[in-house]
Amino acid sequence: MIMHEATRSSASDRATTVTIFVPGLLRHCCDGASELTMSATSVRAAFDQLEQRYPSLYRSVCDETGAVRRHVNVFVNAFNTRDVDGLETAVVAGDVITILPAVSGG
Amino acid sequence: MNGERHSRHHLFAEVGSEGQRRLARARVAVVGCGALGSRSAELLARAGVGTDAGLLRIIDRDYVDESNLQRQALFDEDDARRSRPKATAAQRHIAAIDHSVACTGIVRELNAGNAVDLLSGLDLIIDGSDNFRARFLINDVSIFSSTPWIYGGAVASRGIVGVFVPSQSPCFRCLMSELPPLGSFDSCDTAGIITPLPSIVAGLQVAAAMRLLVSGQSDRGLLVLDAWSPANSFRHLLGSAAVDPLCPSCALRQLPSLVPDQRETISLCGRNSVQIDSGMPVDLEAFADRFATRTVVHRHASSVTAVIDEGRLTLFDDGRIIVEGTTDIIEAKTIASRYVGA
Repeated sequence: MIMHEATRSSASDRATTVTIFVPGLLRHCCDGASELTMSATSVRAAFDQLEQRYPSLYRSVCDETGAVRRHVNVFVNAFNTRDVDGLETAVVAGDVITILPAVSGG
Repeated sequence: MNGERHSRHHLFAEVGSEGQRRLARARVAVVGCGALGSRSAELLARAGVGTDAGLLRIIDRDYVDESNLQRQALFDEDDARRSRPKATAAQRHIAAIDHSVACTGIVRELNAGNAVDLLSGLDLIIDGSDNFRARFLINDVSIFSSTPWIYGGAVASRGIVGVFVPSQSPCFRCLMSELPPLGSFDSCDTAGIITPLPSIVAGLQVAAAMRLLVSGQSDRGLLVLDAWSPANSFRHLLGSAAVDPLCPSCALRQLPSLVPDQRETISLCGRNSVQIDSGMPVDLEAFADRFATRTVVHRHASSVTAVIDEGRLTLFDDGRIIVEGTTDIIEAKTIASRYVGA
């Protein structure tokens, strides 16, 4: 589901179930799972849970200050969170958070 | 002859005869002639790029070996037996496919000193490289010369394609402002790659290339795919609409990748080794973990050594890499690029 941005920014505080899509590169950090389910109202809330459950995966995505690493992009559905509210981007039920490190090989 | 050869393009309304003429006059370079580059070069040649006043330039530093034949187009066992340079072999095979393509293979390593010259006078650059340093270099040349380029990446079963048009979209460095630490990401030589993946990714790159060359249209964002996972086969992710105001490439126009590289790559006398100063951040732990499941790894406080097919590869926490098993600097750089993306 792709939401209109105005709708996304005013999403309610009620926790909803969202999916985090884990790239193959980082699946060894979460027992091989390609998708993780979280209950959260923002990307930051989802990542807070990620830090608790899979700290090495979290560290691969965020640096020691909690910011998303500069070689990683985080999307909510099709939208880059840098274009919305960064880690504060709101999420609603059914949203997919995609962690996208750049792909090198060729 | 070429009218008949490209008749299916003439029938396809979005290309048509005028579009085919534009392809024939197009001047395109392919940087890197491995799995992606060789397939892109073949598809561009078959599409008619460079058949009438245009050109197809293929730049690669490596030579063909047997392990390439599993996934790389244009090459055969004779090329591997003779260790032909990939750019030379590609030019030969493209001449056999369509002699009217003005194809030139250039056996060179693209670097800050030659990139502007090798990538001058073009309508489009196709990324067939296997490392981020080359992509940052292409990105800066693209901005310097106002030439669009098409990024492609492929490893394991995962691929990515993105079109970057200077002054119309944020650049590659806006999307990825820092190189990931060495050792922290997969390459085809660490995670493998399935045979069809390069064809899928290169096919998408060339489709985007044709659309750009014929109509001037390009899509914003990234297309990512996983060819082994049908449920997640394709996703279109929108890249940022806005330029990063601090981007040293497209916003500040410092073009850092075009500054001549002062780091030394030297052959270590009497050691059958080459030392490369990558100048890149390093993640030793990730590098060790990545190799530990398949080979012997020696961990030390400031370095990790992995045994590889070609010899041994040692990564130091200051960004240096020592490739043991060769004194050839180009070969060592190729090995380092394959295993750690340096």
